[in-house]
Amino acid sequence: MEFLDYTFMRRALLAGNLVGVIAPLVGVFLNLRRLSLIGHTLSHVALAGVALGLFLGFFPVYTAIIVSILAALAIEKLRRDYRDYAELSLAIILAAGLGLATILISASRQSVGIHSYLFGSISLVGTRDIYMILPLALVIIAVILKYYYGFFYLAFNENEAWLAGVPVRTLNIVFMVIVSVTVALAIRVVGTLLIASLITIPVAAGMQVAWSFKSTIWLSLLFSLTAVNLGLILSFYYNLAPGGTIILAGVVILLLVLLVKKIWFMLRRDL
Amino acid sequence: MSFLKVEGVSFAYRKERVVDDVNLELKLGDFAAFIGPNGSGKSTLLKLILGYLTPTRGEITLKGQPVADIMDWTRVGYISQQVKDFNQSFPATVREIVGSNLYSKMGLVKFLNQELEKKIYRALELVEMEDFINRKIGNLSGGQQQRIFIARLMVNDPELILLDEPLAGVDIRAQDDFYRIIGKINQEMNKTVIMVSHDIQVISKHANKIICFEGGRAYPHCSQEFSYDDYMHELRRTNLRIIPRHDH
Ligand SMILES: Nc1ncnc2c1ncn2[C@@H]1O[C@H](COP(=O)(O)OP(=O)(O)O)[C@@H](O)[C@H]1O
Ligand SMILES: [Mg+2]
Repeated sequence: MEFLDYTFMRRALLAGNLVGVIAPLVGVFLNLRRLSLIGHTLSHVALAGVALGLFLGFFPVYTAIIVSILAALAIEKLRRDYRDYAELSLAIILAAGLGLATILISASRQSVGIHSYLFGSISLVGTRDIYMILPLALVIIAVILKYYYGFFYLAFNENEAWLAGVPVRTLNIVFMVIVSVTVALAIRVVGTLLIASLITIPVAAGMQVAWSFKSTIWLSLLFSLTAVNLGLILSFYYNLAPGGTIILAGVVILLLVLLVKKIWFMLRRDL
Repeated sequence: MSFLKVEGVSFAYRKERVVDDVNLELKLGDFAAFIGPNGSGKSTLLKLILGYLTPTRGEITLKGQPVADIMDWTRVGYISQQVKDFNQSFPATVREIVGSNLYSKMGLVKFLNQELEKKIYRALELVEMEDFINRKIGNLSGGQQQRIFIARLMVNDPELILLDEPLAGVDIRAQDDFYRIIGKINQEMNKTVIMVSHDIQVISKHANKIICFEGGRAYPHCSQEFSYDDYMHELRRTNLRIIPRHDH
């Protein structure tokens, strides 16, 4: 437990665990609604936000949050108004985000720091990041708890959720804001390149073995937190980028879950 | 006072009227069947009765109140034609699916409490599916899922029940179960039911009113203007599946 002696590591673990909670919470709903491409798109847009912050000399996480919220609201509007072109509009926003990010990074004098925003960084999680991640993560958790069955109905059948009195339009907007903030907050820990995976992989593992919606959420949380902590500790001891170690730990967990499930079915068949 | 009154109602999505000057009156406890070829306006009329669509002309009232003024959607229970279009691998239990319909009855935090859990159980008992409460929705058969959807609307104790082709793709035995349950809801609980079906022979044994649709017009009791033979002819012409009453 030597890693706990380091302040930066304690901060990284706190930030990592908070992100490790909100990413799968948001991810369960995002994946079940088959909107995981939105997470992917927003992470590229968030990179443009980071680049904008580096370029203008603002704290990049602030600009990343603002830019991804704006993009998320635009995506929601396009999704509602042009249902048939939803994927195309995502592709356009993703391309625009990445293009903008590239230009801003190359124009910026401080582009050395970009590395940590692409792959995540444990030594750079500062007190400022904690003050940002902690309250926002708590708000996201509270909002998901408050509208739990509303988000559930939207995920199960968006077209008919209004029949139960679910305020579909409002909840969709709230949801998109939550997703975009989650993506922006995860930048520090896993980096923009791997956020979408942190949102998808633990949930994919959870869905393999879940017996209900609630258990899907708990299992996804369990797998996500395991991956985050394992990844951060490995990253500390072997001096690796945490984004990569976290996601690889997640992939290994997913493979193990698939393997255990397969063995379980084979045993049951033989009995 | 009639329970449901549809007076001179017309509706057009674009220019063409798909519901054309429909008049209809139902009493409390009626079981009405809507039959007619595809595109004749049955689903559209249900959506008008539900208050989801607004008539371009005419008025629809439920117990004397215009449906446009009813803000509590759960007073009318509705199963749409698309209800089965959900992701069959969705990881939710029957309890969660039925419970989600209690959204408007949940408190500040949208979760289920003891009292709501009881409502779920009672609704499942009604459709004889209480043993399946913890099963995943996607693991049930089409007929069982349809009963879960009945339970989902019954948790809110609606006054009027609208069922849009609930038996499409459901096998004969499951159909008998379905009619037994709807019969219980209709007769013992005295709920007014409107059901769209293509199976005129079977539904006419259960419903006390048959309303035939053609080209946006509704013909009560399928009298004068629209005969049973016309309807059967139309069914054959449009190649709709007719399920015989006796299968031998
Ligand atoms: N959302 C819609 N937009 C435009 N036209 C529609 C829509 N829904 C139904 N229609 C048209 O209205 C007519 C009546 O449809 P519908 O009420 O669904 O008939 P039925 O349920 O009797 O098969 C059809 O011609 C159909 O093409
Ligand atoms: Mg129809």
